Amino acid sequence: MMDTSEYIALFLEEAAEQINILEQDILLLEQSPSQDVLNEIFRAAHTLKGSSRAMGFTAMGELTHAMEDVFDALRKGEISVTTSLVNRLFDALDTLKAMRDQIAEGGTSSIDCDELVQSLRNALQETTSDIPANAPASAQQAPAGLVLQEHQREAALTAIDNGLKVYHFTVRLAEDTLMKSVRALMVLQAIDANGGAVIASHPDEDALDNEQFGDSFELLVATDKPIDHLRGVLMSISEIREVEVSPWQEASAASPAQPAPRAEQEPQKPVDSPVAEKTEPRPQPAVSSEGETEKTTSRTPAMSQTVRVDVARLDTLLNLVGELVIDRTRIAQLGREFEARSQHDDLVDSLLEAAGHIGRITDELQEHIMKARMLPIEHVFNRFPRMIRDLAQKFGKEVRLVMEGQETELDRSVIEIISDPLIHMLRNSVDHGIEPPEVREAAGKPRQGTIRLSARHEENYILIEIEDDGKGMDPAQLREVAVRKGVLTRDAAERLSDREALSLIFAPGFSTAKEVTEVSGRGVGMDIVRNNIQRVGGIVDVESTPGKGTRFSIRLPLTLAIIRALLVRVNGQVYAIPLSSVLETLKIEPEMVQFVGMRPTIVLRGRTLPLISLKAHFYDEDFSARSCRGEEPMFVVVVGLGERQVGLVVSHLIGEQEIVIKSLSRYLGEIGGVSGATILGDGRVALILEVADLFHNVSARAA
Amino acid sequence: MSAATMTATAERQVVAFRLGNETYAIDISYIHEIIRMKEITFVPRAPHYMRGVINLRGRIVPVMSLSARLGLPVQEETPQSRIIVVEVNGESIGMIVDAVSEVLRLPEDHIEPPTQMAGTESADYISGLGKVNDKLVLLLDVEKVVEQQ
Repeated sequence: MMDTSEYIALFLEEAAEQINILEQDILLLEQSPSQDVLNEIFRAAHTLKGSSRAMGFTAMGELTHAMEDVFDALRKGEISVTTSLVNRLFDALDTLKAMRDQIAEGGTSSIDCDELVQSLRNALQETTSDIPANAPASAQQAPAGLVLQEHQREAALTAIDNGLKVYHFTVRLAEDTLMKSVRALMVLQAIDANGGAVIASHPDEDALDNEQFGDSFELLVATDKPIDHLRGVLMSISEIREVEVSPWQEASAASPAQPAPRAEQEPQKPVDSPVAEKTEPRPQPAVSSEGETEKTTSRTPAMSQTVRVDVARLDTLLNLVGELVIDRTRIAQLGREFEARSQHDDLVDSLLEAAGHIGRITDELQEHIMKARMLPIEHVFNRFPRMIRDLAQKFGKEVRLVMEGQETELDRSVIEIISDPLIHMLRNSVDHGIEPPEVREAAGKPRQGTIRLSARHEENYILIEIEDDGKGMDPAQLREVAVRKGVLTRDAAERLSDREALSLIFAPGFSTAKEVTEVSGRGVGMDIVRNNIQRVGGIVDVESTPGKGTRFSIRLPLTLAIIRALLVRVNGQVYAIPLSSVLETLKIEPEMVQFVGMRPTIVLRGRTLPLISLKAHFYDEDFSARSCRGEEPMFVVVVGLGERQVGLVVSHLIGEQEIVIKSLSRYLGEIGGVSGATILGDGRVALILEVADLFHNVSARAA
Repeated sequence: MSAATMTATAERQVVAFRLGNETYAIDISYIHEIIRMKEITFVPRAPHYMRGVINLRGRIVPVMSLSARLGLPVQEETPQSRIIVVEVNGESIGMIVDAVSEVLRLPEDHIEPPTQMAGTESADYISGLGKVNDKLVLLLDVEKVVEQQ
């Protein structure tokens, strides 16, 4: 047995990928079974089976094998897709996920899946009786030993219709080839990677995997690339003795003439599918026209152009670049100081020139490394169609999920943090937003509710929106609930604008559900959602029209590592305030400060703005009516958090700057109001303010 | 077991430094580097013995006054003052000391348990007493020192 430990990480990652593909495709299968999907799904199951067996996870291999058999039967038309079958497949998939997670944690999986395997096998038995009439493939004799099944022949014809050429390959291996299956795999991959698609093989891929073949095998390949090139590529694989290529022609194009599955060639756009819909087609590789043949190759070519990199390594790179950014600023500053000291010195000019150049290169380097850390938000969105399907089923609702902009990229650290809040909000939409079908019908709405989830770039932010056409929220009712739950006094509630009333859902201890349901009421409320989003410098907002629906919009920074900040001075020390929460800056005279009780406030454009003196907050200095008298003019940075605003009193405003966020050591403990630190151009350290914390401070004191 | 390993285990290498009039020591394996005093950025609301953070070649490292941590009178900063940067459980932390004196080799049998220290405030953080040329050296339990109360 080989030592598998170093392969396990790779296996786990690949398994996650295949499970993902399976999940998406089983959903598609339920909505619009097509040969494309079936082929892809079969491949995914097949790959997973192979790798889990190779790694010695027999149970996992067993289960995927059973799934593969089901997909194969579906592909051949021996059984058809039913809801119960899809549910069983999802059960199997969930078990696979659990097994994978167990392996990830402890290296082995103890989950017993015999029952599931049996249930899948039964599914095969149950439906084999009603074989669709067109299924048993009228096997077509291709040249030599290659026997085409109906769907394969169909695929070949479709490819030709689409302007591709179909060739028959005979690949002969050197006589004493040791690992024939590896060579066969390399051939298949090389074909994939060079714009070809394997339609059929003799022996079949299982047998190729298991080395159940002699010195040669045959392939039917569709491609639009020059065939000599492909042949050359194959010949360059070691131990390949000979590659014989001849154009394939439909032996008797007339006989089972143009059979039924022709329709599959129509582009499958699941426009009004019951559960989920993708408005964006998946990115296609740069191979000519659309059609069945390319679908099967869609993943592999992209893979050959990429390498997997450990995230920790990217983090290290980003850290190093962060330091470079700091030094760049420092060198530029030194250059300017020298310049001020000695006019017209050639050396100084050279230094400044070099500093400028380093600056540009550092900027570019930083940008590219940031890009390397970006992932499409698809990684989060992927699981939602399945989740919405299950939830809708559970609540007896009919829900269509429309997703847009899955390709939008953002930093992986942001992706990790945004996932849970999105899940929570989508659950809320299904549970509280969308009405039951009968209620919708009575209200003159379509039975099926729509949830639209979209992501897009907007300046330096990502905007994610969750919009449903459900029953919406009534500000009056929200005020009522808030008063009843003691979140607010009646007076305070009446004073809120409708928009502010909607924001009440984010208040701690507020939940509009009449009773806590299993789904939405897991102890995490919208306040946690908002906290999570704010923690990464994001902003969440809600709009709603009673009877029409609700829309949540989330603005997130592209990355967490580098942000723009406003630098201020407090008590001789520099602090950085993330620009994302800064609304404006003011210069005020001490006389403008009024004290409401113990709390300093000013009136800004007719509204009262509570003030927090950072000096008082951080240095326990007195900030009272008395201490303000006769002082110099003060600077106030107005920061916003949702609907709330507060003014931070600082000694001086320094300016805006890009800063690299570094965390504070845990040996310092939790510092309220400080989220981290950064290094300034002059090498000094500045603390970064945590605006959300300061707000808590205001409410705590208000209470 | 060879004789070489025997002597290696029977002897401890420590860095000795001064706090006030007393000589303390830290096992050399914890020590990352020893630097001169540099600008420390005050961190509000941190534990009282924490002086703030420094920029150590791009890394942000917290710095404590070791005297304040041990409940000793805090001396004024002099040109001899140093920051000893130790690494404990993968994280760096700096400790301000009044002066660094030397690297010592302490034979294990010259180290006594800190029983006679019992009752003093710093006793909790002392793992042993070493005797070198009739001088008394207090061995610090670094992990206990950096751990928050």
